[in-house]
Order: sequence, then C-alpha cells, then structure tokens
Amino acid sequence: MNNQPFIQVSEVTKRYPRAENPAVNGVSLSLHPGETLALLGPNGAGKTTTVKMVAGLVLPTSGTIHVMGHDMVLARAKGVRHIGAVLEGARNLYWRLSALENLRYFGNLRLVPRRELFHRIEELLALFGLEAHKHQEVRQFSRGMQQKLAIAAALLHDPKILLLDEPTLGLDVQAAKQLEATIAQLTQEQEKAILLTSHMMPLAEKLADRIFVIHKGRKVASDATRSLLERYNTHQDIAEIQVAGQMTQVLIAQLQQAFGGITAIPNANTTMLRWPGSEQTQLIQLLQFLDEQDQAILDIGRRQASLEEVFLSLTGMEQPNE
Amino acid sequence: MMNALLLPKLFLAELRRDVCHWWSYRLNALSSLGLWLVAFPFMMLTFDSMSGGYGPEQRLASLIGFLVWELCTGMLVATTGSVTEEAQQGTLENVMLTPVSPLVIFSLRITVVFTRKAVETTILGLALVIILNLPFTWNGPALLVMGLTIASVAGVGLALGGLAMIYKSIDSIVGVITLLSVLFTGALIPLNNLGIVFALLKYLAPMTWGIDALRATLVSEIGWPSLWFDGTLWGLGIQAFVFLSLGTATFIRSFRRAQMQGSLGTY
Repeated sequence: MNNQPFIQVSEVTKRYPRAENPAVNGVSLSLHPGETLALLGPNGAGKTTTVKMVAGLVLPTSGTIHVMGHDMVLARAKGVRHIGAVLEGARNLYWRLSALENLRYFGNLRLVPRRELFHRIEELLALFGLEAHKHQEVRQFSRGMQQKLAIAAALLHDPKILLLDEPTLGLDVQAAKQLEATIAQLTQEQEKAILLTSHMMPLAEKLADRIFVIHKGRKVASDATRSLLERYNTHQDIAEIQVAGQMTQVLIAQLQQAFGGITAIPNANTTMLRWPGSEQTQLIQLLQFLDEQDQAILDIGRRQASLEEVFLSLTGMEQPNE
Repeated sequence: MMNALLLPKLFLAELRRDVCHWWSYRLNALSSLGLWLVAFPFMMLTFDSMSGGYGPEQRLASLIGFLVWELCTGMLVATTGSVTEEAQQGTLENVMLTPVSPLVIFSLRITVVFTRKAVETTILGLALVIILNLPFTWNGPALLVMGLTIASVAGVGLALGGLAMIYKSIDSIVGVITLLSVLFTGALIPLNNLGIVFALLKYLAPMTWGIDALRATLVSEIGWPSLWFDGTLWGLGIQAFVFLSLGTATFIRSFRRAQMQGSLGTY
C-alpha cells in the first residue's frame, strides 16, 4: 500500500462546550489508499465525532486532521472535495424529492460538471439497482433503498474517500447484507478508501482491513483485523458449557464468585456458561463444581473469540444475553 | 476561491430543489394564498367601519405594507425554518459537505426563497388589487426602494440563518418577531405620526423605512429627486449595507461556532 495516507488524524482531541469529558481524547489514525478502516466503539465512544471532524463538520479542540494533505481546519473546501460521506442520520436526503432530483441536487452542489453528472447518475442508479425507482419520492423508499441512495449521492463526485457512519443502522438483515456486498464492491472494484463506523461486528470483520477500537474517546486497540483477532484469540479462547435447565440466581452468583469472568446466559431449557481465557485446570475445577451442584452437563466446547467478543473484552462491556 | 461562473448553476440547483419541495407542499401555499385573499379585504372592511371612511389611497397604503411584510417575513421564516429542520433531519450536514462556501450556499438559498416568495406575493398582490379595485402602478424609484429593503432583510436572514445553526429554538422566536413586525413596521397602518418612535423603528427595523418609502413612491408618487434629497435612498442604502455586513459576519461566526459545538446536525 502507498505510504501517503489519504486521511491523517494526529493527536486529535475534541471537547464540546459544557461537556464534562472530551468526546475524543488524543486520537491518531490514518487511512491509506484502497484501505477500509473500521472504527468500533460503544455508543458515545467518539466514533461519530471523529468521522465528523474528518469531514470538517466539527472542529477539533486540538490536534490536526489532514485529508489528501489538506488541513481540514484551514483548507476545508480543498479537503472535502475528496470526501463522500453518509452520516448517521437516517435522513441524509430530501425525502420529498425523487431519487433523481436528490442526485441532481447533490451532484451540482459537489460541482460535478453537467455532462458528467447525467452519466454518473445513471451509472450509480444502475450500480445500486435503483433505476426503476428514480422518479419515486425518497420517503416512499424502504430504509435499505434510502441508505443505498445516500451512498450513491456520496459517490457522485467520485471521491477517493468514503466515510460511512453506521451504514447498516436500522436495516433488516437482508438489506444489511446487500449493503455489505455493495461496500465490498466499492473497495474491490473502485479502490475507495473507506472509514466506517459500525456496531455490527460481522460487518467490520468482513470488510475492514484494519480495526480501530475507541472507548470513552480514547484508542483502545488498533491493528490489522486478522492480527487483532489472532492476538486476542490466543488469550481469549472461550470455554462454553451447556447445562440442562435454568440455573438459579444464587448458583450463578456462587459460580461468578468462584470462577471470575464467567457469564451465564439463560436459554429456554438450558443455561449456557461462557468463560473466556480459562485454563484447562480451571475448567476441570468448574466441571467438578457443577457436578457437586447436581448440574447435568449437556455439552462442552472451546471456540475462538469473535470480533464482537474481542471488542466487548477491550471496552470492558458485558456480553448481552442471547 | 470558487469560480463565479458556477453561481448560476448552483442557483438553478437550489431553485429546482426549492420548487420540487414547494410542489410537494403546494396545498399549504395555496391555502395561505386563499386565506389572505379572504382576510385582507375583510380587514379593509373592518378598518373602514371603524374609521368611518378608509378610502382607496389608505387601502393601497395598507396593501403595500402588507405585501412587503408578507414577502420579507415569509423569506425570513422559510430560510431560518429550513436550517432548523435540515439540522434535525441530517440534510444540513450533507449540504455542507461541498467545496462551496456555506455563506454562498445560504445566500443562494435566500435568493431562491425570495424569488419564489416574490412570485407568490405578486400573484396575491395582483389578485387583491383587482378585488379591492385599487389604482396600482409600479415605478423606477419604487423598484429601487424595494431592492434596498430586500437587501436589508436578506442581511437579517443571513444572521438568523447563522444563529439557527447554533440555537435551534430561533425558529419559534422568528415566528413571534414575524407577528410583532406587523405592528412595528407599520405594515397595515402607517406609523408616520409616532414621531421619535417611528424614527427609531425606521433605523432599527429594516422593513419600516422601506414600507414608508414605498408608500411615498407608489401612493404619493414622490419621484427620484425627492427620494434623493430627503436622504431616503442614502439612508436605505446605508441600512442595506449595514444589515448585509452584520448578517454576513454573524453567519460566518455562527457557522464556525456550530462547527465547534457540533450543532450542524442535531438529529
């Protein structure tokens, strides 16, 4: 990959007026040509603020942001030419306008030459499968179609960089998968550099070359996706034990006291015990304990942690009940 | 710097967007037109019965004031309202993701809204002139006075639009100001007899002086020399310059502050 990053964020801090803590605290990151970087973090971690600072919509309190070598505070107009963005709001587009009118408007606003714009609109409508709906008002679109159109609008001026803030938020599984395929296509065929934020770990795991985990405004981890998974897999193998019946709260409390880090996930007729990072001897002790408590063990297994579990472990958050 | 040749293209893009949006809400515009076509003649009848003789000249004076008020406040409400609405919907941030300066975009939007409102107000005005059977003709001085008044109001629009990026509640404040301005601009009943109060309002409220000067040119048929020598044109010109400058400065500062606060998107 080219050494000159498209985006260079250096020691950036953002403190909103009257906020107790900084939204972003000393973050540095870079995005290289053809690369997809996933910015992961729980709600309020500082992902959206980071993306908006890169887009020049929010000014950093300190630090610098360069897009294609242009300082986004001093030369925002030059940097923003290279950016296409789909921000978190569900309504990036004018709902009362047709898809075609939206694309025409945003194309003109991004200074796409008139002759090129017509061709580009047709091309993007075809790419996103929206040709048949181009005269339809956006408010009549499904959420998935709206999101596709928002991405099409972001690509009108053929930017080198695409910022996608929670692109699959609010989409059903099928629409999310379609969008995932479209984003993959953009990186593979059009060699866009993509900075995406998401709560959907499988999306990040599939699409991102690198992962940047942010929590409470600070960097928690940053590495190539594979390296990050491998690194944490070595420490974070998860033992899973399925026990018959629903465990009592008293027993769960005893288990958690005796075996730190264990979580009990109640299902319909069983209870799943998950224990990340447990050693073989510890596991035997756990099995003995369960046997003493007359718990019928249905299944025992060990598996590698998913990105979601690595993320939860890094940010110190709890696994939600399934 | 942006190429000035791009301005017509951007203006047309904004106009097209505005017209499409207007068309989607055309019933609102038509009902507003219908409302005034009924309400204004009724108001004239009321004034007539109260004063015991509200003749064509007075009616024409009221109509001029009302049309200027309708045009100017309509422009202010539409521009500030759109900033608040778009910030909440998320389109404002998307609009700002362009190499074009936000000041240019917003100035074009004000021009577009003015163009649309001017068409609406002209239709309303012509209909009311026919209904009320008023003698109404345009002249050169009136056109210049109108232009300077619009420029002053556009300055206020720039300032309010900028403030709307920071304070989302500005929308409701503009609504109150709009209603109050019927009184303090003398839109319906001339305020010339209020002495010092009128003099103050003339300098501070951008529409008051304009409405008064328009009445002078269209009702009393005062020509260029009088407007020039009594200082009206100079005054309106200076007022337009001051309001436009203040509006521009407020908008630029407000945009910067909105970037600091992250309030361009409040969805």
